[in-house]
Amino acid sequence: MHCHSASQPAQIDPNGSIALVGNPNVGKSVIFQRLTGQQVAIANYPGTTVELARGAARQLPGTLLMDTPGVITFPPHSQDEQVTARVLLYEPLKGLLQVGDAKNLRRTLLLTVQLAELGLPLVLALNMMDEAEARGVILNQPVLVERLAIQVVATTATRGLGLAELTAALGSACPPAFRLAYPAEIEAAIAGLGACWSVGELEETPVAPRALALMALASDQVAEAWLRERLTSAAYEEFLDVRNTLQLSFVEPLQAVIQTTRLEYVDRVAAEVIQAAGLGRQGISARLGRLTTHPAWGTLILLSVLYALYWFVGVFGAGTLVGLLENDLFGNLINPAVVNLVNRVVPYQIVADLLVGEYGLWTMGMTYAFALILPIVATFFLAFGVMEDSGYLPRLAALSNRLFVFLGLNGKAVLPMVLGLGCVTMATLTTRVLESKRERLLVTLLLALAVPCSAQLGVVMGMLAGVSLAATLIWAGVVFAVLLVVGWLSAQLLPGERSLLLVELPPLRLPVFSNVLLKTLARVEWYLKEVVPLFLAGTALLFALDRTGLLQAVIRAGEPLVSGWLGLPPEASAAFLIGFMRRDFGATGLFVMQTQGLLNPQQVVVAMVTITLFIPCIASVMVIARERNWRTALSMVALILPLAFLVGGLLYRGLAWIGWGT
Amino acid sequence: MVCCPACGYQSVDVHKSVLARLADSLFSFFIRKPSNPYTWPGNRAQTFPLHRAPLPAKRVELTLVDVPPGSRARLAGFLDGLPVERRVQLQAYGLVANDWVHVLQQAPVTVIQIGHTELALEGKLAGQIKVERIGPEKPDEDR
Repeated sequence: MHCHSASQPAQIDPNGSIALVGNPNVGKSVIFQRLTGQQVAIANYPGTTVELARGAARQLPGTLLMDTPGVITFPPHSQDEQVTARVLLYEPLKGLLQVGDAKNLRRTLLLTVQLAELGLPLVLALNMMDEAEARGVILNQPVLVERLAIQVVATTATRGLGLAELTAALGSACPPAFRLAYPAEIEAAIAGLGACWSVGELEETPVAPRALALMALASDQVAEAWLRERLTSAAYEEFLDVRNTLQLSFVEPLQAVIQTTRLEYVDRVAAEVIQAAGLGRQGISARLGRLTTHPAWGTLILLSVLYALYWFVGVFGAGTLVGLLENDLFGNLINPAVVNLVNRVVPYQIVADLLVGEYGLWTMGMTYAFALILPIVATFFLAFGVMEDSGYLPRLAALSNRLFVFLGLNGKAVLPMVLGLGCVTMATLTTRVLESKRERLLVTLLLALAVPCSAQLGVVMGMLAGVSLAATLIWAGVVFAVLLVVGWLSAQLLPGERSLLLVELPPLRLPVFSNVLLKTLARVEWYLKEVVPLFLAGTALLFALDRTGLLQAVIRAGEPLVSGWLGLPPEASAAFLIGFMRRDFGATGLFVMQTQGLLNPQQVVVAMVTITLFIPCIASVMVIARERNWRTALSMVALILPLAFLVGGLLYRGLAWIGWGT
Repeated sequence: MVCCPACGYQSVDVHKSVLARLADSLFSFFIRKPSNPYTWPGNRAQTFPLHRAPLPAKRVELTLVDVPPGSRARLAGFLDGLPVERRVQLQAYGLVANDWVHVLQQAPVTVIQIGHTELALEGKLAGQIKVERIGPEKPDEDR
């Protein structure tokens, strides 16, 4: 047995990383981007970082920085906060960089205390200093440094201010000589646990045994899991005994007692450091921010935003830009030239057909991807970037809470749902910001079922805009009704309670054009990398089926379902077949059928509803399997596919009955 | 249905009927339920009793949902039923006893300002946060 120095870490790896830790939406990713030169997703809402980003610090040779999801306090509450907690325990770290909001010092300090206790070299970046100064906040930084015994650097990361000092501080950071005294009973328990846990058991974490003991006493699930993996069952049982006995000394739960001690310390430090607290948010931004969550004005603003989105993506992107690219650029210039070239250069007809035939890799796969889908996703990503950087999305959470309560969720679910309009695959990852497994599962199902991604949404909007506003309303109404019914039924069937809404509303800000543009370009690049191979694979599959005569067999086999049940032309079978790879690919096939005059308005609406309710894409099914498990993913596919055709068929009969669109 | 053993009055047991649960969810979507059985949320001065008979001698705690929009309120802690994890999270956001918060709106959710942070809380959660007093105090009275 061996006793550690209580506040010293078990192991600081000189080759380890420096983790950026902090509250949500304080600018960690901006600082990470500035220090590493890497582009990561940044937005004006919490939960942007759901996975770890790593990058080499440009000014600190041999040092790797790690961006982590925001955490309010430890123990972690949501899955993304647990990612950060796991970084602290499992990753080889040589230091921590806490990024804090200078305006909200008390909240920042509560986390600082917990990070300082870890015993790792720690630097505090007091970020958003410009906003703090603008609001009249004055801080006594030297006193803060003295009380916490760590280096504190004031930064305004968006403008690059203070980053040189921050880099220098990171290069010379030392473990903090910080020790907060807890009630005597807790101190005795910490000392007892430190004496019991052997060196071998603790050497795999950089965290000080004292901090580890405090985490475990506060029922931190990540720390508990870490201890269970490393302690012998007898030692773990002994720890549980110590905790249970200690709890008997307090009326309040241990977690609350530990938190209260920290809060009292933070209050004392904050009282010394904050020389002027400044005024709350005022001005146009604050007033507009309040209007966006107002029951009446907020709804009007939301409808205006949706209309603007419809106009920009559906009318301008899917109409004007697609027309320019598909007809003028690809139809009149590029494709004739490519077809000419291939026919002259390639001696084998079958290869030429594979490249530029009816199901050619260029004439179908690349043309769909670049002429039809690219302008739509680019306009959507641009509009979405403006929305997320403005800070509007969390306000939607407040505005839409009642709707999500009906679905057994809370308004926070709107974040992955709106992100799903960008990309369902990415949104499935973002469900980690939700607090319970039940909520994550419910939102994943709704995303897979009824939230069309930007590419598909653009094609759908473009097609429906070409029919009538009534067509758009019918499509939206049916999809929304399916979302409500399936969501409500799933919420009733899935056991567990929903969690109550608690979300921070960041200030409304004017989006920075360069950031929005960078994000749009990064997303378009990501989209092309993901989509083009799938489009080419889908086209190759169709080509192979066509050549072997199987395509006609598939169309014939699908006829009872596609023509008999959905009332669509038999050729639509091919679109649904490629819809298995990506919904938007299938939708694009239907778009081409519409432009060829093969679909009447009724068929357009039925086809769009069916393809919207289809499984999203292979990539998102894989992500669902990774985030949940294969059983869940396959169960969702088994539910979604028949449901999509069932709703499509019922809609066809309903529209035929009232005589609409024939 | 559930029947009162004293007066025979029947009411629907929403937990046993899918249709009743659907209707109940729809109603609760459009109509905000009162935060406690005796008052509507909103300004205390404007509250009215739902029963003519004198209320039972039960102490009704004043909570954040009772604070009218535009007012400031001094926090008094949390109701006992609030899980400790949630309490710790709220404290981390700055909702600490004896601190003043500014209530900005009560619908569709409760929006408050603590320092430079704006938080949106569901009514049920705001109803778990006890308030000691309500008043239009100036910010310099804080703490």
